[in-house]
Amino acid sequence: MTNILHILRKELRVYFNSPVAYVFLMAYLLVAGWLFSSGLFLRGEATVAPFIDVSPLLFLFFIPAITMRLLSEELGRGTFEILATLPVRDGEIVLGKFLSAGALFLCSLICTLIFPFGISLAGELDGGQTFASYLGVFFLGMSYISMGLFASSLTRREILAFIVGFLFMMIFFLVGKFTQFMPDRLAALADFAGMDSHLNNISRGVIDTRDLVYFVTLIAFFLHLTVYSLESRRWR
Amino acid sequence: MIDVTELTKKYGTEPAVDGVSFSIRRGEVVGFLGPNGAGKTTTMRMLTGFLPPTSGRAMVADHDVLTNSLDVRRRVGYLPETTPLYPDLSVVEYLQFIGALRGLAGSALASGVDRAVDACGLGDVLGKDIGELSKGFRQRVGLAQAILHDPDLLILDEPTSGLDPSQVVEVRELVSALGKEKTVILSTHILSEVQAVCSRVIIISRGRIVADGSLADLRQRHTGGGVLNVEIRAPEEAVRRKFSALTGVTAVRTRPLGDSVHAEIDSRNDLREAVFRLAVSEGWTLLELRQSIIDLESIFLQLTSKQSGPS
Repeated sequence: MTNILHILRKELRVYFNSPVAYVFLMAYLLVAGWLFSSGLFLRGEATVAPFIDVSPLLFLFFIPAITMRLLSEELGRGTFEILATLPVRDGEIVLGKFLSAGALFLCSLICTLIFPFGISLAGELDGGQTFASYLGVFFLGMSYISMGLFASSLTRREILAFIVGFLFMMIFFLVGKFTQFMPDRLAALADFAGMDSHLNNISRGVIDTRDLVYFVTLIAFFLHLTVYSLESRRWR
Repeated sequence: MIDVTELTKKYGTEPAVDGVSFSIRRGEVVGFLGPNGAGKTTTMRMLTGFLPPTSGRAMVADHDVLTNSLDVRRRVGYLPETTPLYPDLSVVEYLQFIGALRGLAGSALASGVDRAVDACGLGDVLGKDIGELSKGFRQRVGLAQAILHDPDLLILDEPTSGLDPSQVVEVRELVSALGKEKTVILSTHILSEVQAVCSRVIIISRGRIVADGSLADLRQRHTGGGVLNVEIRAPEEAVRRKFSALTGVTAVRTRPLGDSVHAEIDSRNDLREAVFRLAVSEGWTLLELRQSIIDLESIFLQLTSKQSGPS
């Protein structure tokens, strides 16, 4: 357990000692801020919905940027060889890395809280729904991170980890969007497998355990795959 | 300390390490010597638990590297071949990170880091990012990382590769100092390194052990008598005839050298005494008598090249 914290702390150090974290935060906040504010006065409505709605698409590009280095860098530099010969379990490595990217992501999300705060000064903001929206986006981001982490465990090339992670995320991003072209049974399945329906439920303000379980399961699944992928060196 | 039996690692069908057995006692400094691609790194990776053996067994400090990997890893300090480090961390941040994952905390962590920093002479660069350090300093950081937790066993994969000559000397001195209290295995393809720091050498070629013993052992076993250089004041013709008649002589080459004769005698055994007695009984003046030892270099070449045929 303490090992996870040590790895988490080291990963955050690497993020913040190098320009990665600052460039990420700045770029993300610029884009998010622009998307949020561009239609603000036209809408004349006190809601963060436009920002929340575009988040799944926005994260599709930003999350792989922070997850691609997590394991690929260690594999490429060879530092993984030291890490793997320390008395640390692969699972602890994976969780520490997952949480570090999660922490950076949470940082960026907290910075965007200025949108709801700002808007609540000017009008009546639905606090409960805003909270739920943020919760949904948080879970969405964490699921993306687990996919990105898995992609990063597959290759020692960071660019490849970016693209593969992006593809995993895109599958879950898109699969719920084409339900109207599918036969009913497949549509139901796609609707369940895709992130859209679950995210919509939550961001409407309905916090249903089924939706939360969906995200948690997705995260656990990809973290497990990551551990297996690291362990695969043992039976290759 | 280490007990390895029939250790084999195959990549696909190609064996990188092929049925290797050896054991190493506590306190030995052992050099793994072999040409590049001989299986040194693979053997070391199996000993550290990074790679599982395809078959065979390796015990480190009475723990199986496969089933008791965590216990083995706790006792071993390992420096991989390329000295992989995190360029974005400072030296002290890095050492604290490794120490923490080694299970050190509080004052134990602080004293472990201090000791490693002292031993490796890193005091002046503690706050610097590893990315800014020279290759020599990085190698020292790698070594410091390996000795932080005061391990019983140090496994160093080519600790001096890529260093300039003075750095090589520094690292060797460091390894020699560490070898006084710890068991050390280091791999290298440089012979002088083994001569400088190791008490025992294991020569590996094509995944197999071709020689194992102390340096003196190896010399004795593989040189036979070697070449005897003699400078003597006597008729050249007589020298050649008499020397050729000695037992064990395979060839005699002579050439005149001023008013004396220089002779090189190839033989299977040590002839120094016989030559001396011969000179005395013939009344010749012996000016020089020198047994040239076949150096490790030629033993090494001999051992690693004779495997080239099907084995």
